[in-house]
Amino acid sequence: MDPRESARLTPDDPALALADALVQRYPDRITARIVQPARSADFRPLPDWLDPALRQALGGRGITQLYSHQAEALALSRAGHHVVVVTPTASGKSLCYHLPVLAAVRARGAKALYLFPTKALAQDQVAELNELNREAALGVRAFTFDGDTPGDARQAVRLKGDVVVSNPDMLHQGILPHHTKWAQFFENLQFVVIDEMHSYRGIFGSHVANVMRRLRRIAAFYGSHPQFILCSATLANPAELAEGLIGAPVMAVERSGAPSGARHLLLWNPPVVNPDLGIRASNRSQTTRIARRAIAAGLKTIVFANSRLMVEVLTKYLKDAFERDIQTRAKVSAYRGGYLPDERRRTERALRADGLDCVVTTSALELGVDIGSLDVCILNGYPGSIAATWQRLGRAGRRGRTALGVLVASSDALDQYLVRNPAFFRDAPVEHARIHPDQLLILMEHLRCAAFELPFRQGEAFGPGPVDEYLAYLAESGVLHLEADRWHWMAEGYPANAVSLRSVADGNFLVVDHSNDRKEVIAEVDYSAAAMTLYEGAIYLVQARPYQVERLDWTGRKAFVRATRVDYYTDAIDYTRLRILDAFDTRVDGGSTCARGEVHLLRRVPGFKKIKYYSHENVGYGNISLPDHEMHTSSLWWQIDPRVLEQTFERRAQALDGFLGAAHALHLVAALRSMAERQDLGRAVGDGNGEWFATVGADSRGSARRADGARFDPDRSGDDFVPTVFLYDNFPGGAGMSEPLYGQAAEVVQGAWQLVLECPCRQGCPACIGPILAAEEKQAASPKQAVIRVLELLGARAWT
Amino acid sequence: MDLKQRLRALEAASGRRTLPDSGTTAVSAAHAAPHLPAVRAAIPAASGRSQPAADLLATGAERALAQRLGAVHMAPGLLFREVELAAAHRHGGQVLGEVCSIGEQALGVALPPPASGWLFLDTETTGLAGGTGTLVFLFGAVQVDASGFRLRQWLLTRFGGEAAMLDAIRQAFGEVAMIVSFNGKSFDLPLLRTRMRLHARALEERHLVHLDLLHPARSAFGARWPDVRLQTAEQRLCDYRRDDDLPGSEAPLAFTRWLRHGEADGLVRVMQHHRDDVLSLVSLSVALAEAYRDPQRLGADEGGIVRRLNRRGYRVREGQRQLAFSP
Ligand SMILES: [Zn+2]
Repeated sequence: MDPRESARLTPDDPALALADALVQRYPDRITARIVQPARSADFRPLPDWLDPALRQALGGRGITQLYSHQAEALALSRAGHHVVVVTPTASGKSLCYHLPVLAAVRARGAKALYLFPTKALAQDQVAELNELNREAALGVRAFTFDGDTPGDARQAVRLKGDVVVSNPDMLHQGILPHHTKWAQFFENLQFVVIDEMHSYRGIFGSHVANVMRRLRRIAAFYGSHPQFILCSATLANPAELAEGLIGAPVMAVERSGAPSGARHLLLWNPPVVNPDLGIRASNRSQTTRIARRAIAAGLKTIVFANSRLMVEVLTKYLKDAFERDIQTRAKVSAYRGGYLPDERRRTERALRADGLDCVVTTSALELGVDIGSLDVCILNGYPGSIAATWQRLGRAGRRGRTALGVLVASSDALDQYLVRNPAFFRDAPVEHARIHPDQLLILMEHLRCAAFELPFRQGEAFGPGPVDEYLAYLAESGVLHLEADRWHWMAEGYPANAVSLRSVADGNFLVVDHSNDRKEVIAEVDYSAAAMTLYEGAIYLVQARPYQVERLDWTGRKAFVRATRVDYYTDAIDYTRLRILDAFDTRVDGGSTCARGEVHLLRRVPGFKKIKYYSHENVGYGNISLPDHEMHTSSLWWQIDPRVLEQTFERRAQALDGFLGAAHALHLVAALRSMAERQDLGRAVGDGNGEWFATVGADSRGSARRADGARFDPDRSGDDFVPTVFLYDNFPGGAGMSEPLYGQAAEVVQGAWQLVLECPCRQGCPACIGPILAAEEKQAASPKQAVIRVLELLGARAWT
Repeated sequence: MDLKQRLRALEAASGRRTLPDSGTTAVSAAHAAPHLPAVRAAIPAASGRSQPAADLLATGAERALAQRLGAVHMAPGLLFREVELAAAHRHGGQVLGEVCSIGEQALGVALPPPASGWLFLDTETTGLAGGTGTLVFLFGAVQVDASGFRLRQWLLTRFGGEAAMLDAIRQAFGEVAMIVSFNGKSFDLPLLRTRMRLHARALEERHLVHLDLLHPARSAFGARWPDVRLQTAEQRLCDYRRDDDLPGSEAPLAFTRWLRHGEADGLVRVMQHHRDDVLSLVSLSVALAEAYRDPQRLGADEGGIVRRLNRRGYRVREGQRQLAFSP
């Protein structure tokens, strides 16, 4: 149905009216209007096996039948399958696990473990279970067990909890290494629930998959083989991720039977204010403007920002706007991590009771937390994944009324790409959540933990197969001792405490503020990022507050910083050379090659630039003397036949510009598809042998250097000019991000090409090809054209 | 590149501090084995037992260790040493026999009669962190009952001896009405329960009174001493000083070196240290009971003692030279 038509049919639909008005007033800012029509509920009867008390509990909450996805999940779980349920926000997904669990607890004294990524979500679920419990005196005891559980309450949770609600970190450090205290619980453990499954991806997900291996191993020791029920936001590969996480086949339920009102999503690009430089108005001012209109129209509004600082800024703007206006007196409030719990509860209550007109928040309100119904959701910038975008948009929506979402793009390249490609929001999901549980370092960490928990038998499998080879390594390091057919833990200490699930290995750096003679740890930086961010002289930002690094203690893993008020930021110069060690797969297509395999990376950080805010002018340099960082990792790469390059480009310098810009665009699209943080997926341009590498210099010109740092002029080199674009896992040993991209390489190239081609800039801009200017002032072709040519040589084709 | 090289490279690249290589572990030769004439003398020809069959399965190093310790092979991987002690045996300022007359309500705990069996126990472990990976490699106790005083120690020489050790502990627990420990409520007992559970056994302890000396010691001296550790207490209350004692923190290393390199010296010293620990438990019980009766004489904190006794439901009469309390 045409959205206009529905507006006429439901004149009393203010969010729809606002959407229409915005489209009419700002046609050049709205790049797309995506309409999800209202959907009616697909009901199924309650299954026969549900006992009367459970029916009564459901009835007490007004539930007499199930949505189709709930019924389907229940049936699959009842049949003994592991199940993953993919559903939108507010579709009653928690019943998909509460019902099988409650039924089993009541029928046969089963125990269940619920895992949520955050403590707040865990508390919400215990509250929900307790409500169900009260409706019909089910007698099921649900407790949270996390770092906040007081010592004297822990024993009661272990012995009396039917449902224990925790998080993966607590399971890893607090429960599994003490499993004997939980013996009763494990003996009866029949269900493990993993909600918000999509958040377990990348390094974190790879760790969690290993924690699940440990969990299943311990459960098996007590004779239990629990069934898993997982819930996820929309992904392209939910079953694959679920199977990777739990190491067993999983059935997916992907069609929601929950009703929903119509939802309109406007993709909003701020207007161009400087056409020459392609500079757009800030998304902050646009967000404020849209929010003001929504609030003025009496629509309850939620605004999501991507940083705590931005929450404060937007709240101030909106308060300023409405406090002056005596007539409306709209109430605006901020809500974010770092606020006291009492304050947060007050805001939640005010939202539910319609005492607030607008809340400005971070991801803190993305999930869980009951805040009642809202009409309009405005995203100030892309939240980093399409799954999170939909989860946030799902916060708006009431029965029988239209919900309006507006995604206001920032100038960030990925934002710009997305608002120009509505297909990402309209078509089937493209985001593949990846994990790599057998990443060597991660696997070794968890083998230590697992061996501590229970001796390994020789030949025992952990994950796909036996691990004796790894255990022998641990024995050689003095951690294990092989006696008869068992590998026994023989070290002092408690290995789980040395393993954080949220990073690849230990060796993290602490950022210590020693302003005012107090020493306070204000941040933690991953080892691999330390060289690029914590060199002496670096400006390190914590919540947009600048600190200067005064001393870096590399061996002690500490950076001492002091608050400062400089007007510049710093940018490390990164000389990263990659050498191809081994190609596992290679595909040749015309004049180009795409391959995946293992590479050797050598990163040198010789110095840094000081860059002034706003003007971006270069105001100084500093030297850095740090050890080179070397690692082996996995990578995906593209190369073009030198003869084809010679035919296409007049000069090699132009081709190099093309490769540098193509790397930028490929990197963006690949990060989007693999749901990787952009810094976790590295990109580089070089020759594949580590002989030379290319970077974009401080002057925004592309240039190449030899291994010793000397300039390399491609036009004066011999016949061996084979530029290579690498997308690599920025972790020692690889982390499983770049490898699966090999299978999607054509889509990545095509997406990069489209991103560049469709960008409204003429010569190329930071949003499409990165901050690169033509190698020569009077060059015939722009860098943008060079990038498009490179991408076409790599296989991009105009749509037919 | 083989796995080992690959892992070392990865660990270096990720900033992980690699554990020392097995070949480079420094071996401290400074500690010579102490002589144990008193103990040796006290063993009446291996307690008159016949040499168990387990001895036949022992390695040469295990047999040599057993001989040095005056112990027998109770099971493969498990050494057992038993010493009968006279009631007049002096350990510091106390003699063992005094413990039988500390009173029925000493320290604010209703004690079963000594003839029903008391076990003064302690463990040595591979670490202090707790959790399922921490092993009890030495368990020992002074057992007091109608037949007198016996010091018994069970030492693992292999992981494989653990089940037999746990069964011996279960049996010892079954023979007494009370166990006495120092910090056993939070450390030794939870650890023993964990080990039992890992071996599909249960520690039967419902019939037992558990007197954990740490708590009464802390009430009486927590405000007076820099710390309330066993060695502090034995020095200050029992006037017992150890010479050439192996620090408790080095016990895990001694066990590790035995397992990996067959070095016995460390274990011999651990046995000696551990023997002193359990004997000190007996002397400390006597001294603490005395401190509760007469706080001023031993420099105890009378207020702390009265508070503990009140908390535990005892009415304390003051005003006399000594404290008298009744339930
Ligand atoms: Zn552009």
